[in-house]
Amino acid sequence: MWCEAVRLRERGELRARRFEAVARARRAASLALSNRKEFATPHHGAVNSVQVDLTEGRYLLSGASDGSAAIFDVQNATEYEAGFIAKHRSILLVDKQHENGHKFAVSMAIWYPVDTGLFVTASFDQYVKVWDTNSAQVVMDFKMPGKVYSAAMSPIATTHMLIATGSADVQVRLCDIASGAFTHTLSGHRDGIMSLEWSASSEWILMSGGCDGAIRFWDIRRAGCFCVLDQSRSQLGRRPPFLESTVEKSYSVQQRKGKSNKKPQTLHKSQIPGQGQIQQRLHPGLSTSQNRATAHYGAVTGLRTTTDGMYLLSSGSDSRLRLWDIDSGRNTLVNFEAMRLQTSKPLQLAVTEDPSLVFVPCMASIKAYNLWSGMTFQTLRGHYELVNCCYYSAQEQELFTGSNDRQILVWSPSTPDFTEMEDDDRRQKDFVADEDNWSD
Amino acid sequence: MQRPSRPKVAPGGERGSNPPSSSAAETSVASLIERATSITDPSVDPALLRAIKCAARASDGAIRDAFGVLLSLMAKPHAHVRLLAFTIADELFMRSKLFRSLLADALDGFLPLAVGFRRAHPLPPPAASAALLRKAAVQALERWHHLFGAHYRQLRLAVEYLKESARVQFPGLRDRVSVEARAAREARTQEILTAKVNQLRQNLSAIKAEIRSTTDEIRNGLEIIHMESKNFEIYANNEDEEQEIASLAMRSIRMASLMSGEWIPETQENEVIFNALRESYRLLVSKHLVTVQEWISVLVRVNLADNHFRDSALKELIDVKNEIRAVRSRCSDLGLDLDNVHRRRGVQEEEDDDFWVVGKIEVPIPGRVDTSADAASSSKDTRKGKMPGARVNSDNGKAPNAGNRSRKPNPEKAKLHAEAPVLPWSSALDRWGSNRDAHVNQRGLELESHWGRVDNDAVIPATKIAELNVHSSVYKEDPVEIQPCCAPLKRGGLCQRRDLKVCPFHGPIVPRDAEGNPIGQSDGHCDADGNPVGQTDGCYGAEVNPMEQNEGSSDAGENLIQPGESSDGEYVQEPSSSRVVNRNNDIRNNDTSHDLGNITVEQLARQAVNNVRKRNSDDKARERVQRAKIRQHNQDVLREAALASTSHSTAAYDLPSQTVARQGRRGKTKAPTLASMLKKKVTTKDRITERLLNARARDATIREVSHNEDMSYREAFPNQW
Repeated sequence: MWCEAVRLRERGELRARRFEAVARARRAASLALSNRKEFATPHHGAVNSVQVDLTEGRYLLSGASDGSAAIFDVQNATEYEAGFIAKHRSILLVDKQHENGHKFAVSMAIWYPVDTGLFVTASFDQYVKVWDTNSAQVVMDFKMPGKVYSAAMSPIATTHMLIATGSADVQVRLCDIASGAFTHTLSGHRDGIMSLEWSASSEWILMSGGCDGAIRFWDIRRAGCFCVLDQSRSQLGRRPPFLESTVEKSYSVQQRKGKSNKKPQTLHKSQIPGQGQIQQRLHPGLSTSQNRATAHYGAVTGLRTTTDGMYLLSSGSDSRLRLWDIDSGRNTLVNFEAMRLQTSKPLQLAVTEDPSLVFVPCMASIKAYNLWSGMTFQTLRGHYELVNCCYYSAQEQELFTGSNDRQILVWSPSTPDFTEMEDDDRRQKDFVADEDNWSD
Repeated sequence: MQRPSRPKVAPGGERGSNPPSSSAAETSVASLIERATSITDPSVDPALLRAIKCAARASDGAIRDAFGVLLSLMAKPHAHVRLLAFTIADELFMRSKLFRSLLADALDGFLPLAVGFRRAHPLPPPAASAALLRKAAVQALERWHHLFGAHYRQLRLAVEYLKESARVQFPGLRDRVSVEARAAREARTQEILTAKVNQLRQNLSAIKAEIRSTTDEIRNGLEIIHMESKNFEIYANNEDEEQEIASLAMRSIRMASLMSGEWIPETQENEVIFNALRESYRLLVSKHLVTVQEWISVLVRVNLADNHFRDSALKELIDVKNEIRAVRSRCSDLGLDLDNVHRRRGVQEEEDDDFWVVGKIEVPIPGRVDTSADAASSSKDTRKGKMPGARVNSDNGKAPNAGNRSRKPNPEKAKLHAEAPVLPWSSALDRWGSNRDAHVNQRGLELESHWGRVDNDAVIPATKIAELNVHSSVYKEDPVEIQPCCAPLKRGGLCQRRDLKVCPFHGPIVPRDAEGNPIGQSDGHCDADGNPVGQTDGCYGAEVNPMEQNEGSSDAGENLIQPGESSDGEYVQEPSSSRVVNRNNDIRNNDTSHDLGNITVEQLARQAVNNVRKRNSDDKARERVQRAKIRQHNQDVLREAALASTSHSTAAYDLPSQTVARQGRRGKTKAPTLASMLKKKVTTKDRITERLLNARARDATIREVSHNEDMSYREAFPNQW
């Protein structure tokens, strides 16, 4: 109970960080459809992407299939219905009527990570556009060779401002906002790229998941990809067992003479020398067997790193969710319980910040899995059509989900006692009380 | 877009941690609900419902239990079970907060089962219950939303989704909106109406005076016309007497023909009256009557503070309207209809067009030789002379014109007519007589550099034009001569009207001799005249004569042609019908067959015609009876099908009576079960659809066996189901 935790904190038995973590975890565990907060959707099509800005945690950006993107204020409601239902209307909407609006569906809308003055939309009309939030004008656009499925910007980048874009084309392109040109073209995938994710620990590492089932790691300072995740190379648990590194040693000794002169420096923290050596050896050309490795059967539809940057979650059109150790590049063999995933669209997964829970859009519902055990923790039901995306706001411990039924729903921690008390204050008289009524 | 099939686990079961408060109550709730939903009645038994409520309110566990049971019942593939379960769920939803929260959480799974808005998962049969369920669900959802929407986001979401995305109609929402809109509309119309009434108040007397004057005008005109028509009747009677038409039938035919035509003759002196009358009549009908009716409707609809003016004005207007109606009926009694008015205003040519009858021209009865050389010139009725028969008749000259003009004999013109060559009409007549070259570009258009160089002076030589104007056509209309009526007129001479079958003045056209006596009635001297048929139509006579002579000499019994065949052929075909007549006569008067020579060919022909006609009419009557029977049958089938749009609904409609029967004698009749509701009753409509759709799927052997039977049936009843 929360009052118990408070009491422990009062007595100093619980340290501040721990107290905070406990409170966050408890709130994250009690997510339910929020009755007191709702978004009035301005979209006329499926909501494909939602994201809350990373600086203030206040503005929600959504992109929809009707070519529109909208921004909502998450914290301040536009109006209150019936006294206590906070209704949030869009404070900015760019759609087809806009002179520079997208013609086709917006597949991804992301904030510029360091400021809310810019946001980026990627669309099926083969354009990636960078918008000025305040003037609602297009600052610059990039023409892609195919439908753009996803776009990503590194949340921790300090030295570059690159938009990684994955399209129906086989190459990942990096668009530089500073220069307005493509700086990189990363080749390696054999099919379109559905999902992209920047590493949370190194600003140079990019991870891409393609329709060919491969997840590739790229170091953008160097040519070519340095790692391809293989679902059959696995490790048990969170860390690679020691046994493996000893086995690895003889192997690495054998390979030493072929090793390049460069020291492994691609990963921010590459603790396992064996892994690094293999990566080094294989690097530019990558031997054929590893180059053909797949992470999923079918397309990789979603990628998400944990906030500490150590693990990567991927979802595939084979309806599986896999947890990868980024350092070792191995499948951790966490068995997530049976689920059914959309296969044709990129999915946006969400992870709590501890990380303890992962939220996965499973058809018309969102399932929360325990990250380490793979058990279903909760099933969030409320949407009437397929859910495409979810975003977990760490600041408020709220989950935002967008679906084909055009709605953006807020799932907030349900603390019934609090809400009841507050409701009583604000409730208007003309509403029927939600009470038992057995008398005839 | 498929939904994963949701595990139908009752939440009560999921939350196993809840201690079962009282197992007896729970089981009783579950069993009560089971009992309540396993009946075929259209609604839940109220007593049972009360019992369920009592059991459910006992504890939270009971509510959870009931919720679980209801959810599993809602998933059953039977719309009636779902309907009953939904009724109970609705009741509990309105009562219990716990039930509300449970249902709200499961609403996205619950609603598709109740409303069936997902195309992949429609509501299960029977259809009647499914329709009821959908209606009830939508209504209940709206009510829930209205009452508890503020507390449950799920309810708001569901209503919004159904309204915006699934496009389900919500009666209440629509009503509320439409009521307001209607009220606004009503107020606006009332405003307009009051303004109108105020206007009427000012100029009611003026309107009335205007109408009065018009009706008076018409009355006066009618008075005059009436006198005229009396005169005409006398005139008509005089003519009758003049013509001395003996038979009553003839007179009636003549009267009918007069009545159908313009029977008030419009002469020079009364034309003015007629025109004035028409004008005012039109004014009355198309303007005054309409305005009066409009005013009446305005007065009826308006809501005024004082009804005094309204009532009085209404009374007056109704009086005026009745007056107008009376005048109109008088006018129409006199044959002054509105369409009549239109027609009379037309020029003579238009009338001629009305008389044009497209049809094959047949000469039913060969008349006698046309003795008078110029039949058309002595024709009394020039207008009738332009009938199609006359037109065909006169294809050897410009007869219509000639007929008309020859009224005033113009010797010079007649001479020219005689000289003029007879040509068929063609475009060559445009350039008749000109022997010059023609310019290619006749119109003087500047066609420079449109299609290349143009020679403006290019000409077509006259010889070439002549060559181009050669007109030839393969088909030529057979010249058919329509025989004149030839009935003797009182003034002397014979009637020269040429009609196909019936002369409007003298009845059916029959062959007559030179004096105009019908030949058929005087046997003897026609025989002496010889065969008139042979004389009139050369071609027919050539065919007919030898055969008849043959028959006259040889035994009639040798005739090989069956009478049945002749019924198919046209009775005007002379050879076959005459033979049939012969045969019939043989059969009928076998003993009187000795004096076969006494019976003239005409008589035989006429009798043949009569016989064949009679048989035809008999056949037709039989056919008509048959068709009426088939129509009746089809109508019955269709009515049955319309009453029950599907067999499911018939099954549903049949139910109540069956249940009543079951209550009466349970042992005898089989009780209707839920399963029986699903069972499809094979109706005529199903049979039809099966026959239309599954014809191929039918077994080949069965088809083989039934084929002949089917064919004969189809032949016998071609338009029957």
